[in-house]
Amino acid sequence: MAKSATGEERSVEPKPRPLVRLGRQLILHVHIISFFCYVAGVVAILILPMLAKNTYISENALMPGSGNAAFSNSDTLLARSSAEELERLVSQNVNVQRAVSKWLIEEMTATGADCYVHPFSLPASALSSTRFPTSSGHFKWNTSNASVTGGDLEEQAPSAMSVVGIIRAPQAEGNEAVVLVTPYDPDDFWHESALTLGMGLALFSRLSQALWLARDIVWLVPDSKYGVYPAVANWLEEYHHPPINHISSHQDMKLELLRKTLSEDGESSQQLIDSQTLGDFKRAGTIATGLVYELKSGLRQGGVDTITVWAEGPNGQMPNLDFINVVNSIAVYRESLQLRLETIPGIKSWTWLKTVGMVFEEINKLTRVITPSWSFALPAATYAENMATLFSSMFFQIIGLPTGAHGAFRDYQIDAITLQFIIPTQGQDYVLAKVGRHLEGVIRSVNNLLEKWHQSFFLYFLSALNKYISVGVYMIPFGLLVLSLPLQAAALCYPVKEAGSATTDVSTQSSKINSTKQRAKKQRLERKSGADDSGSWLEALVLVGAVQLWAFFAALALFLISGTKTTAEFKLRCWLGVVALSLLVAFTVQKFLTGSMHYKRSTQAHTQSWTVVKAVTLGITAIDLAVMSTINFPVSLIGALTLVPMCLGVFPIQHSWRYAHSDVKSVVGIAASAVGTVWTLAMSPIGLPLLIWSFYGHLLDINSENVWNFAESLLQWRSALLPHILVIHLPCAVLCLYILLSRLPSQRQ
Amino acid sequence: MGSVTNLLALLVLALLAGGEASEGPAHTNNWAVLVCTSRYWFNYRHMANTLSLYRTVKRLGIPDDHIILMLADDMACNARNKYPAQVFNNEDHRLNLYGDNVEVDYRGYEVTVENFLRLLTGRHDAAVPRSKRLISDENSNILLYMTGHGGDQFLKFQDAEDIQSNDLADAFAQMYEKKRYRELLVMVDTCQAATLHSQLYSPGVFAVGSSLKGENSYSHHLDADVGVTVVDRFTYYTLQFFENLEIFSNTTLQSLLQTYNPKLLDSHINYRSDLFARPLDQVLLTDFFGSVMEVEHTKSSTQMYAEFVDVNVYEPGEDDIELYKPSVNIPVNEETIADLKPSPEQGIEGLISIAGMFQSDLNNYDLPVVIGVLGLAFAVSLVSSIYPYSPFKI
Repeated sequence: MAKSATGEERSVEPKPRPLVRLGRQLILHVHIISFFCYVAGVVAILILPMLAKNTYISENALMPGSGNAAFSNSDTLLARSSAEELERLVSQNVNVQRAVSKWLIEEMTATGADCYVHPFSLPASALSSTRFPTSSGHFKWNTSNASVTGGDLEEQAPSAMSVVGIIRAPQAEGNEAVVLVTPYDPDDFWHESALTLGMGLALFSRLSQALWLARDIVWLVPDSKYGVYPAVANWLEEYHHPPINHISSHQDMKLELLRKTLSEDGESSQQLIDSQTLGDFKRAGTIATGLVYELKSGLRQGGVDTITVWAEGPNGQMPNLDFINVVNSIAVYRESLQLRLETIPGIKSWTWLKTVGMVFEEINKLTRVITPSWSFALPAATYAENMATLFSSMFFQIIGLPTGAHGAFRDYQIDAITLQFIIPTQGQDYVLAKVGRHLEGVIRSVNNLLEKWHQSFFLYFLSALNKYISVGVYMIPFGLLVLSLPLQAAALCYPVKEAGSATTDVSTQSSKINSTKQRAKKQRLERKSGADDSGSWLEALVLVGAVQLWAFFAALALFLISGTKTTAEFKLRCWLGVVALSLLVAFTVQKFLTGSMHYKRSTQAHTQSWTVVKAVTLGITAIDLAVMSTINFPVSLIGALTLVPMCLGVFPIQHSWRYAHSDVKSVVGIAASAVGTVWTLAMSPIGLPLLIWSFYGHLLDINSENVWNFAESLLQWRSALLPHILVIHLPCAVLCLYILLSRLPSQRQ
Repeated sequence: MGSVTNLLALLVLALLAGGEASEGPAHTNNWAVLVCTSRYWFNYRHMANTLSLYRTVKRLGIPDDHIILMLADDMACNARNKYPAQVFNNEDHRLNLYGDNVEVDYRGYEVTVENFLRLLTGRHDAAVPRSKRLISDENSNILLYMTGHGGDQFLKFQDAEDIQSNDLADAFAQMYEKKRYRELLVMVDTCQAATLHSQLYSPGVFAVGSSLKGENSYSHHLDADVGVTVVDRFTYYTLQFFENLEIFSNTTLQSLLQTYNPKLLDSHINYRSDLFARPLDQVLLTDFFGSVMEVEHTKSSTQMYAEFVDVNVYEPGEDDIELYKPSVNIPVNEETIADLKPSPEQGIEGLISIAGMFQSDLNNYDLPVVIGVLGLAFAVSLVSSIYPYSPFKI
């Protein structure tokens, strides 16, 4: 092939294949294409609410609302009287935990359920909570974390105690179960907690009389002294992994705690413990669904009783869409309750969202002139609301922390959500009855399901409760954003002015196809080109490899340092020092390695060295983002939004300077490199924290302690945000800085 | 000459009668194959459909051993069933379809396409018991009712497989070749049911489906107590029609087909009568949905029975009263025993009614005299017909 190409005697070159020509055209116009790809990606994100489809119940078996709810007025009375009794008990007793537990055990036993208590302590690797702008009460700062986790698990006596009741389904085999969770905090027990537990009891006793149960009902009342999540997670852990090693010690510990907490006031409780084996951890079948609910006092919004739904699990894992659909359809169509997705209040007030919505509306007005039937835009207010919902959900997913105790279920691949019912102070009974019927309806529908939730989407965003954006739609903007990275990388490797011969064309084509596979490209290039190029490739690979290794080390250092027992501030300083030092080491090693390489360095190769570094950086970043999109999509989306302009726009300052002073001036080119430079500086390891501080400094209490605690909690919750920042963003930003500051040879081309 | 014409007339009559026997309604036995092909709780209505049909054909006289009932799932014992061991087809819950006397032949995962086709064609493993076989012959009228989830040219079995319309057509062809039926009525209540019988080609088959291609068959109503829909529309209106039907009814297939109202069904029924020989307004519904046979009483058997009755008139004795006592130790009331005692009059009357109309006349004459007179008359007519120059000739 090379021979035919170099053959000068042929006056007419053989026509390249269509794919080759396409590749050549792509590379020829790569700047325009990547610019439009990026813009199209951003626009695609903005029109996501318009692409959302109506939700529908996909699973036939669910039949939501097909059965009449048996929850009646007497059950409502039971809920209210129980709440009143609980409040009375709590006010009489000093030890709230004991009073509530005793009451729960007695009431659960009275309904004929299997009842037991689950004492636990905060595990050594306690999941500390964190606060971010939308802290909604699910999370509490746990600054005393270090002191609590001081001792080993065995040495620590359990300090919290959850109460569990199980209704065995009368006609079923008992191999499946539904878990209802009503959290209460003994340290913060008041009217709402009593109401939640009262409703829990009313529902539980109603379900204990249901003949239609095909799944066991487990009522878990977690002691949320350390937060709801750790309590539920702890119970689930023991449910699925019985502690085999220390059974006897565990048992003794449990009994000790039980005696301590329950039998202080007489013989009867002692008998209760002994006779009913309250300490035995009893199980039902495979947990198919989890439903966390709590009742909150509040005002009716717009004359409608509302339920707030939290669904985001760890790293943005969502429960099956059918679950939300069932909850929604029963609420709306049977009980005339309104569901509300939790949104961040700040986002709704963003004025630019409304502006964008109005722009779309105007565009639609114009298009309607041409084709009257074509209507795509939402009303600006709806658009802003949907976008706020979408962004809030994305934000929760980016943080990577579950938005409630349902996240603990997600770790076991159990679909769960948290519902918060708003109970007005007036007309309480009426709303309580609605809530009871709604919950019973949801449970009956879930009970109809045959296996796990499987029919509907797991990968989706909700822009409203009846509007979903499936994975097939939301991957398009991401694809558009990331597409320009491999294209640019290919263009950098094979500049078009050299792409005259067929040889290069073939390579171009192959590089386009394999553009994300840098290694393959390198080998191909080594084979095709001379030794000069391979030298600069090797140099670039060593550099990028060194920076990537450094980034991994930085992540590892964070993990190691977080295990030490010092103050957060010291840890942060420690880590920063280690990271800075190791960066120096990485660059030294890189210099040493490249210096020891013996190859003939031509001027041409040296001139182009930054382009090769940039090409490799682009390739690596594209791969990283693609991988991240499978782990936590919103993180990868925000990564693409921030990293792509930086990667594409970065040029050495010298290069930009020369370009600006060269004869061929182009406003677009100057603007592009200016934007690239500014963006690179803004996203750099120093620029980004400064940027965040300047924008959100007044909202968040940013100090070194909080930053470190936040990072540590991300680590403990296994949030994908931390690896993204440390392993994808950090090396990319450092490499871009390197490119920005890299020196060109003194002579002009 | 007259006698010759008499003889010819007799012959023609006999021939006519024979001809009618081969083409007319003179089937000798009835079979019903009732299939519910879908499982899972939310398909409760399919089982209720099938059980309702089962009840109907049983009420109209098809015995249990001539009904093959295939139920792909057991809704009665489903844990979600609020009424354990009961199945209803109406939200009023007045009729439990799953009473004490239901004989399910193929249950649960036994309901497969393979088993269904084996049942139709009679190609069973030797170990399959008689109760699971369709032991029909060329004089059998078979009712085949199927319900489940269907689509274009198929019917789903068990959420795992489906039967194609061609499979069904070929199975019927094989049945025809093997003389396994005389007439076959196929009734299908599924979505796009008409497509299922579009490929049929065997003679003697009449097929009716609940919906056209592209149409759904809808459920009739939801039972909010049980929490599921309990019956499909097509079956519901079919049952409604049959509820007013007696075993001796002369209602024809035509009138059943006319009752289906597309507005009520929300779908259009479709039937195929091109393979079916008889006009629909002459086909009694009981030819398929019941077991009503033409019974011919022959004189001799009746007489013998009458003689038996005369000789052995039953006289209950005192010992017999013991037999009629209930096994539980309840104080025996004299009146009830008297009721239980069959009196001679009652016995004879009962038997007379069975023996038929000849009985009452014959009782008044001596048997030998009657036989003698009849024999003489027969002999005279015989001789007169054979011997033209008989002195008896008038």
